[in-house]
Amino acid sequence: MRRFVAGSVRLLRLACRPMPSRAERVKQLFEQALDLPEERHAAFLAEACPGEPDLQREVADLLSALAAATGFLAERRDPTATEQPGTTVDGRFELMERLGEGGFGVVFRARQLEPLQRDVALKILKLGLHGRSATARFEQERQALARMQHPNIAAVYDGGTTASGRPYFAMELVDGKPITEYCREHGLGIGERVDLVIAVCLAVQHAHLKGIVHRDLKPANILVARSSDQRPLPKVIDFGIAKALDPDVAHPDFTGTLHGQPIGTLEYMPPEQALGRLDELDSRADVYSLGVVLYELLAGRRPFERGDHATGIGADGMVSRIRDEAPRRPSTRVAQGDRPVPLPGADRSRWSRALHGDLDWIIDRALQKNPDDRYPTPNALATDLRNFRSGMPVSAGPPTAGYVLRRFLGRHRAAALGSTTLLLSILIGFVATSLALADARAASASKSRTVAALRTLLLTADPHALRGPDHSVRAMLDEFAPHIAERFASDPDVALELHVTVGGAYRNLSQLESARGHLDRAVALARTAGDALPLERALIEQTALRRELGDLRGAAESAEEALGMARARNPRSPRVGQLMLTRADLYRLADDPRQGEALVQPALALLPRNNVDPRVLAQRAFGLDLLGAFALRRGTTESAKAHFEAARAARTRCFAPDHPMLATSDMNLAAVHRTRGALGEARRAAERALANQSKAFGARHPQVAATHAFLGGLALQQNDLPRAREHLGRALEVRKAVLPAGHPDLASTFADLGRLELQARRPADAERHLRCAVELGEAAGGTSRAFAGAIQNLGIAVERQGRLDAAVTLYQRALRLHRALGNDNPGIPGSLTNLGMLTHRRGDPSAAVPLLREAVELRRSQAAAAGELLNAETALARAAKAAGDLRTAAVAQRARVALMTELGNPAGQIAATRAKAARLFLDAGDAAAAKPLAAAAHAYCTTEIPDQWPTGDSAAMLAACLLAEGKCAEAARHADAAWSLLRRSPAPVAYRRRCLEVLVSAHRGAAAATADEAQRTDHRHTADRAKADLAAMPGSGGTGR
Amino acid sequence: MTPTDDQLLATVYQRLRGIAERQLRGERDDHTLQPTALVHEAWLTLRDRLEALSHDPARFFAAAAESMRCILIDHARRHNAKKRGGGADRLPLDLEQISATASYDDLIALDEAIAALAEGNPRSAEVVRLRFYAGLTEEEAAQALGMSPRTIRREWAFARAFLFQRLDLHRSR
Repeated sequence: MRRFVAGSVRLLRLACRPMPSRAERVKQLFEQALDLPEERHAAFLAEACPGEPDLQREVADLLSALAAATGFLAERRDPTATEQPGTTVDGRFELMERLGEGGFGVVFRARQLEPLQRDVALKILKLGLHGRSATARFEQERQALARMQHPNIAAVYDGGTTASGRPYFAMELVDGKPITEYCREHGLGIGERVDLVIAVCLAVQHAHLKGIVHRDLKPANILVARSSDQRPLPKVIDFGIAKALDPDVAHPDFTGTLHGQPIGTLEYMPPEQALGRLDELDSRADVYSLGVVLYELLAGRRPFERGDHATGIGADGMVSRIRDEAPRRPSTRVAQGDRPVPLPGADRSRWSRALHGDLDWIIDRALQKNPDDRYPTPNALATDLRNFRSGMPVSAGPPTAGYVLRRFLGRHRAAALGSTTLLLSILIGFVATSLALADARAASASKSRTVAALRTLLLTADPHALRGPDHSVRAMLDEFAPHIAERFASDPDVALELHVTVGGAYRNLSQLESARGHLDRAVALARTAGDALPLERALIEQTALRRELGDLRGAAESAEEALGMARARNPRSPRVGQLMLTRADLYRLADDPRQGEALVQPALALLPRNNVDPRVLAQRAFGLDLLGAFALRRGTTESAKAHFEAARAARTRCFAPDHPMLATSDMNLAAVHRTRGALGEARRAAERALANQSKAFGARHPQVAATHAFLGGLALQQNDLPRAREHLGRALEVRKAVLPAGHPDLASTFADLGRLELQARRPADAERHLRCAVELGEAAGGTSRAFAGAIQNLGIAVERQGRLDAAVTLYQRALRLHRALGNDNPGIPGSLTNLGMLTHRRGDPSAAVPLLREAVELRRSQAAAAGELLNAETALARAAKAAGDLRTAAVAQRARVALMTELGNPAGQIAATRAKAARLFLDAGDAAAAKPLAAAAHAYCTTEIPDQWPTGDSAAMLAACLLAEGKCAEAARHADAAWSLLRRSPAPVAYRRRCLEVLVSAHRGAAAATADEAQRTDHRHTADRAKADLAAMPGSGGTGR
Repeated sequence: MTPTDDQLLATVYQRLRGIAERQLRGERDDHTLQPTALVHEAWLTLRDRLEALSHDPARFFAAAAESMRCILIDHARRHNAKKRGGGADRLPLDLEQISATASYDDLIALDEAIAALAEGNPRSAEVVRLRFYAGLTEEEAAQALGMSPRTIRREWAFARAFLFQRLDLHRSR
């Protein structure tokens, strides 16, 4: 009946679609009416929805609203639609053919009729953006343009307004190609290309002298025609148009085309223009754009192009690259070879070598972010290009330290120093001293000032200080760093300071290998010099680096040495306290919590108390973190939580809320929450940290990876496999990119991914990851618990794919490794359990029993979690039963009862386990042990499932127990009840047979015991009948097990 | 317009600028926001979403339209909160000049009318938003939404009728 109703509803739904809403009907009718002439609207509506006058009226109202809405949200007509080929403009220009169109308007080839007949390019500008005042301004501009007379500038002849009121220019018609195309088509070499640009520079210079800046220089606006003697003749077009269009807005269009060429992209704009700082635009903007054109002509591509960079494709991403990123040198770009060489058929490496040096430097200077660092005029650029052509030295030499510094300061004024005065004094100091240093005649005072200034600047590379990964700082470091040794060869102490600083900066940028070279060199220099303080500083940096590199032993050595030196100076100094904390942290990482924890309190005592100095607060927070970490390790989570919270509180006092150090605190708290089992809280804290770190460090940073790894592990624990896979995948990607090969974190990420795939039941994938983890672990010496765990899991992955022999080997290896790590290692019972189960699976339960028994005992002594213990007990119970060791199986089953109760398993499951235990004890001949189990199982069954056969079975077991105690009459009663339930039940024959056997014995016993003749006969009778039943059962003759 | 990723972004950027300029041109005397600032504000709002959406023109332009709308309307509201009145009757508006000539009251009223349209006819409202706030032409809107230009024309006609009626009523009450 019910089914029928549901079915008919489905039929009804199929039969009629959902009714359209009223709004939909209104629109439908409206649209249908639109196809009809207006006079038929009323008739149509009357026909389409008879009897619905409201609906008719609503649609009719809309139709009349549309008629009245002329001009409302109307589309403007194409602004140039009235000017078509054939039209005469201003009575003087006859439009001939449309050449192109852009955001500014449209260009026609036109015939000028008077005063002289010639062909011109007529550019009609779009209206609508401009009011009347714009027209006046436009006229002014036009007059200025008309003053320019230069063979390489397309002349502006005339201008005015069209009949429809739009401004137009009449310009020299250039029959040419964009410069890039021209060079390619005519196979121009580097020298010829440079010559063309020189001519363009001079043209632009001419315009600048007339007070006109182009502001939109790009190949599409630099056409190359052929002169009468067939030489290439560049012509700059569209001078001043950008400004005439709108004096406030120099952004040209992005998508228009001229002669089919895309024009106007961000790619030719200097930073000040791309950023919209239009008041800063001057002639040097054109120098930059000329630099881009030159770059493109020589390198075959523009300095920055959309889509050639991972960070983004958008105009926004472009703007920030134009602002921040140093373009790669043209020679490098060519050598790299991902695009054809600009001249087809040219030899790549020769072309690249020809650019290397002078042309690289010239372009570098033209493309400076700060206009002050560029060539001051196009003329200066042309001069340097001529120098290059004639083999003279160019003015743009290789970047000097001072030059690099100046550029750097220009970019990072605010971030680096905050105050202009300070900036100036440092700048002056640096420039002065670096000049002096170049003479190798520097006074030591100014030397140290130089170094101090440089250090201040380089420390800006610390994302902690800068908030945000800074690629230009990287670029500057890369440029500067290789020259330290050579440039400061005669000044080892300066070189030492610079190596320490540069090494530290690289470390902060996660360029660990680069950092290592500098710091090793610094330490070596300091040892040679024999000066204590610099050596101590270098050692401290080296400690931090080695720690990050995962070289814990090396880090400990450096730290011990630095600590010894600091103690020798003053054993009670805060510096000693700091170093002790560093050392304690290394102990923690090296799995030596006892030594580590002992250092922390004395270290904290050395730090100044009640100090509000942020550095001291930060150190104190670090100490508290360590205390928390050690507490966590001891399992005292509440105290760990308190320490971490205190550390976070200290940090909020000295850092801004989005400072990455707070993320460190959040991660610590996340770890505590995870240990406490508060996984949701752990996730929230870690996600907060991740957001903070990604902002501060960028996506590719080891700390970001660590947080991803944590979140991945957490998701794994919560069995959210997709989330786990995402986080762990990210962690792996970043770690592969930034960590040195063989770093322990890489191994642990692979191990986690392996665990994930095991959990996802993809053992082949798991094996792949785990093999990587194991390989890395072996390379690192392979003794850690994590390494043993990876081998263990690899065993599981292999076993799940059916390769049992290989799995045994792996489990045995894992077991050996775990045993080597100490008896309290929870990995031992884990390996034992796996090995035992596999041994059983391979058909040798007797060999499995001792393994599993040891696993159980170890888990008990290690106070393992109930779930883990339960797994071991289950495996043991099964193996022991299969091996015929019934007593061991029985004890294991009884232990399972307690564990399942602790874990809150369903009562039915627990009762069934009790019954199993009871049966095993009975079979093992221990009725006394069986009785309470059987009684409890029976009690459950009689309440919950009184009429089902397990109730009978438990009654039969109870009867057997009573029989063993000699209580035959009571046993007989239970056996009767049991048989009445089992007789016709689907219970296995063995169960029924057991029941009958008890029944027979119980009644016989009862017959022997009773004095009452009638009762005795009765018992005998029952026993005989049961005996007969037993004989009639299948498989009779033998006794069931 | 072929909607490759960078062209999409560039187009929207340019359009946003155009709209912002026009919007503010009529307000030069007491402007509170420079066109560039307005566009940068829009970009900050858009940046993340746009990059993620650039492969999906429909959602891309919807996001662009939405953030331009938010900024214009917020700006109008802020402005109105400071300076009450002056809502002269300057209908009709046209697509090029709406922002230049419309008073802030017009803008807010129009936006509310579009919201009312969206209740019964979300698709019409979407077309209006793309055309009005993201500045797409008929063909571009058709491409972005994956509809035929004819459908867009119909939706557009309906929207104009609806909005005109709605604004008219709104005003006469």
